[in-house]
Amino acid sequence: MQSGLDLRPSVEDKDAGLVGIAPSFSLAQYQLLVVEPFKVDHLEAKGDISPQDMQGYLHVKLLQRLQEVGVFKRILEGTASEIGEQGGSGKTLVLRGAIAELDPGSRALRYFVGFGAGATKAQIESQFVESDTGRIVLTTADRRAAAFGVFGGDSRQYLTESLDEMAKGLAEFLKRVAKPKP
Amino acid sequence: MGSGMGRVLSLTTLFLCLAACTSTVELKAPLAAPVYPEGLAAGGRVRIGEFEGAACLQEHVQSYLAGSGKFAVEPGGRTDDPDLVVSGKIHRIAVYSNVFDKQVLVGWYTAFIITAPLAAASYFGAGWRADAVATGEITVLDGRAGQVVWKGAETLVVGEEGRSLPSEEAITKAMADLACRNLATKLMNRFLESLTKTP
Repeated sequence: MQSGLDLRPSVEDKDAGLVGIAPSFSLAQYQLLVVEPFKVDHLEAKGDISPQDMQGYLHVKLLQRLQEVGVFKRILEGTASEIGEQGGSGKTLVLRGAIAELDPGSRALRYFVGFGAGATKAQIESQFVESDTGRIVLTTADRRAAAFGVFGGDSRQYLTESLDEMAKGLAEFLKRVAKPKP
Repeated sequence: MGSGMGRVLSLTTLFLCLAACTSTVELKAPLAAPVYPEGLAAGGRVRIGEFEGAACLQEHVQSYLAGSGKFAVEPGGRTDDPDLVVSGKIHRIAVYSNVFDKQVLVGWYTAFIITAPLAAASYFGAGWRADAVATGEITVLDGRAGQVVWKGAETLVVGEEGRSLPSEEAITKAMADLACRNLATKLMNRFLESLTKTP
């Protein structure tokens, strides 16, 4: 465990990649989760891979996967400032982050060379922030690569699959963290 | 030689698709649910104004408003004195999928007797993925004053995966409609929410 100020994702987790958890963090105290769109401003479009499309896809998948695990009583999308008074009673947690990398790789390399050459790569970095204090209580970094598929596989669908897997991994991780320890 | 092989592959795929690719596809991706806020007052008569781009946005907005039970909806021009005029624009609807890869794979294995079992395995086992992006906007005008009451824009993505073998056309049609419907619902939910906040 690290302090909230310099919280870095440094502990390996089987579902969520690397994670960092603030001391005395307990998911049970948060009633509402606000999911903000992940930042993609620093990324450029490559072929039919638009960062904005991937941002939208990840956002939808995060909402879907987090709702499936049922860790939070309420999940809203938007920004913390937009949500404002809708939070009601109970503490609010905000999930924000960035798609750090989005590499479509090369279908030709995947097909003709193989052995991982031309793999697609996607990386997301996320932070869970306490709405009222601004304190980062949980941080994760996850990365997926895909290289094996029919005729080298379609880059866009590899990337959406990777984003979906990372959303699912994050939700599974939260489900484990939320479980009361014996 | 290469083009001959390509022709055989294309014809086999075409034949297989005609024989095996289904013209409909059942999507598992969730439909956005209309949220009609509690205490929403009757909104009066609504004229469905001009919609640019794909026609689906207009259709879904119309059925959304009709489903609320709070608005009397008339299609464009038929209401002389509407309280609100709703118009919109679809900027983009794009569908991407890798179902063609599966079609080619099954077709390729079917071309040879020795690989026929692989064709069967691919037919039932190989998956496909698709995603659709819809970007659009809706504008609501005061029917009498002509002023903009509310305006919202949104980009929305839906994703789907499956193991059947639908035609590319079926996926494109179903995904585009789902994205368009969810876009309309999301924008209209935002509009109704804004109505409840307006004093």
